[in-house]
Amino acid sequence: MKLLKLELNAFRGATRPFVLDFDPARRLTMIFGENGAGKSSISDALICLCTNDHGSLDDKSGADKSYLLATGSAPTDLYVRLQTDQGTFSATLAGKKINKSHTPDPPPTLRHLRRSSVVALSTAAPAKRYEQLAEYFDLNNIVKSEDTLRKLVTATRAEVDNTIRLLAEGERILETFWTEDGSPQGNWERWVNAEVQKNLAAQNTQLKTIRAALDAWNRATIAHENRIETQKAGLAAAENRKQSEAELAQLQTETTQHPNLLPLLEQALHYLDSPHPQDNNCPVCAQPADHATLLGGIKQQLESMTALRSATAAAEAARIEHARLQAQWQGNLDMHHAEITRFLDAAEPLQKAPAFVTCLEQLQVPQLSPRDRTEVFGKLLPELDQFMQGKSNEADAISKTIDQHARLQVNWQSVQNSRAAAISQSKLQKAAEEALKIVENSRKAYIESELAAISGEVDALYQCLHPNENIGDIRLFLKEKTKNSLELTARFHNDTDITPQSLYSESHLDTLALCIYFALAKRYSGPDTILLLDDVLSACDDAHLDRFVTLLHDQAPCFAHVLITTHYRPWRDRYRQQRAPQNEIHLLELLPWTPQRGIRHQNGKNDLQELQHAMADDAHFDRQRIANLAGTMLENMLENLALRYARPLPYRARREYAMRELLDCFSGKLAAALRVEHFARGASGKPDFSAAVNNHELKPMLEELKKLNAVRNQVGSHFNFDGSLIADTDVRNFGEQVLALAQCLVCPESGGFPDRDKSGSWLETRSGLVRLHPLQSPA
Amino acid sequence: MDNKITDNQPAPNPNEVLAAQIFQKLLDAGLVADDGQTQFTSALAQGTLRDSDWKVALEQVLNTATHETSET
Repeated sequence: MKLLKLELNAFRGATRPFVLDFDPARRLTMIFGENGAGKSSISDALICLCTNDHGSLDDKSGADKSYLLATGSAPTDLYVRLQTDQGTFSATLAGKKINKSHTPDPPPTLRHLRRSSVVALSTAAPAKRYEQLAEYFDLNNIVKSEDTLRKLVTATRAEVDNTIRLLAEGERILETFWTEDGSPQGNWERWVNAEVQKNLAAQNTQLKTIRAALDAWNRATIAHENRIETQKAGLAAAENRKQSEAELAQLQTETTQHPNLLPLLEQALHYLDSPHPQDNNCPVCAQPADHATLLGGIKQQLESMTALRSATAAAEAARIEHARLQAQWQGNLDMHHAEITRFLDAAEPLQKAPAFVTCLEQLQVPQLSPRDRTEVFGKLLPELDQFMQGKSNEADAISKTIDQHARLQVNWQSVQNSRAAAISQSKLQKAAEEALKIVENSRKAYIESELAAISGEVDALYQCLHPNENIGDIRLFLKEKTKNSLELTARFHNDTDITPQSLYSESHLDTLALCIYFALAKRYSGPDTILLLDDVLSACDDAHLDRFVTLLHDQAPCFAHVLITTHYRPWRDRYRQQRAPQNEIHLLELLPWTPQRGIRHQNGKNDLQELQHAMADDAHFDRQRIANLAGTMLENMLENLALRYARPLPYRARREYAMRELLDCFSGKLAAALRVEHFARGASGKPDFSAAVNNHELKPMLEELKKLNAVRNQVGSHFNFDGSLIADTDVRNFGEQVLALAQCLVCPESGGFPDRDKSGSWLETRSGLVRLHPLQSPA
Repeated sequence: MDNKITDNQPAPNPNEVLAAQIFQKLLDAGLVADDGQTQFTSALAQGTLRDSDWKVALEQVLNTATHETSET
């Protein structure tokens, strides 16, 4: 992936639209700016676009995230767009929420490192350190799946416990049955197993037979009681009838009137009192008669016969009741007889004692009339009842046996089911626990192996920054028996496995943290990963800065792009002065920020380019600027050569040397040996070292420059009258000689000086296309 | 010290790498069956594997083992 353009508007410091065009030919971009120029706004824009973080605002406790919006801007004005050769990724603001639109999705991976993270990592406690780096391991999804497996383990454990409780309860019940049964057969399980195997069909049949006989017996005894009761009532009714009829006969004897007169008068009264046409004739003789008189006469006669009338009615009622009871008794007698017959049938299959058989035989005598049989039944009732009570007890005992058998079967089945469930659930629990152990151990082992790999990389990077300093052996590992805790140990001279915070200097801790992040970002990077180093470097000595720059350029190919923001001027000047491979980096310089103008930038130039431009300006020949630029450039090149060849110079604490001193420090032997070869790339793109395309002796150039030494001081640096005497031709010649030397020494591809000893025979630039001879100053 | 991107493939997702390792270990331990590997590994890597999914996967092997034992 190549970054093409970053645009932002109304985002933090970008009060005006800001556009940054990346150089697609360069993988590194440096944005240099003084504090407050807008570096963090650019970094934060990328962080907000590519991650869920808010950039530098996240570092500041209590920072209001609404300040993502530039002061005085409307939310609708805010946008951040990153254009790449893969697509365009953009973000806008809706309310307080950032809306992202990515084509394609997801956006590029951004690994960002800020100064605050460097400081935090070097001083963080192990748990906090793990938290800071955990995002790189990114095993959250595995942890989620691990949590659900843990949930299953917990659930199956609870299920097994519950089943075991049910099993214990079932076994306890069965053991109680066994104990109540006298603890036969040695143990309860053997007994229960034998008991449930038993076939109780015979007992069921026997119980059914006995219960049928008991039922018939109950019905027969009830019929017997009913018969006896109606018999008693019938006898009482007969006595009442006899007495009523005697009383009536006595009254009839005492009266003179005919016995039939009373019914006759009652019928006449009924006739005359009923509603029909009044007839003034007697209904018997048809002679004229008054109806009222007739009716009154009949009523008078009947009143005189009241006692007779009552006795007659009582005798009739007694007769009717007697007749009714006689009929009911006959019915009960028949019913009783029938029930006796049914009982005899039901009792037939019973096992009977001889006395019981004798009783039944008495009832079964064929010649007995129904009435006699019921009478015999009544006589045998107490004895039969005793036998049937025995049968009832026998039925209860059988029933109890059958019930216990049923309970044993139910509980035994429950125990068997619980045992089967406990086995299958225990198997699942064991499998789940084993699986959980595998997942947990795999996760830990994965992190450990990643940490081991990262540790090696961190140490290698650290050795690049601190060679021969007798420190290193960096090791990152998870703290045992502590969840998510990341330990960091290192070596300090002879002390091994120390915590670096104890003995390392602040700057060594900073570079260690930098190497850790670098190693992580590198390990988890892909072809679309952008590395953002946001002001990570503070004050640093020259040697460490050079090594850091070398390290950065060595590692840059691991990422799609490396974006650096810095306010550290020595770092920027490394590129301006060809002390670093400036052709590999796109250098941008931010101009001072104002609310009205927002963030602004210009392309950074190096000293060589500025001298070339000044020399090429035919319209305006600026002799002072040319003399100044050429002098600075020449001092830079000579100082670099003097350093490489360890030339003797007057000792000054701030390494400030006069140009003449620098020009004269190269001895005759060394000056004669100084030679530069330039090589070109072949058709395949690989350097062709078979023959140099250019070969330059440096001695003639240095000799010529010695002659022009005064130009710099007299024209370019100081006020003096002698400078006026120097012709433009000399100034131009001075500039051209410096450019010629620079074009010899500066690599046309990487843009740096030959400062690497890879061959053991010469010094070369990063690309290897420029070689400087000799390797060392001749003796 | 490797400092080059050797291919143009996206960086492997650690969840996917570890999910594949875990599945292989579970398979070697006889805890899961090899059928449905893709679906199981994908859910494991995406964090969407529910406890019931784990149960089904583990019981599949347990039930198969029980069935085979009862047949023999």
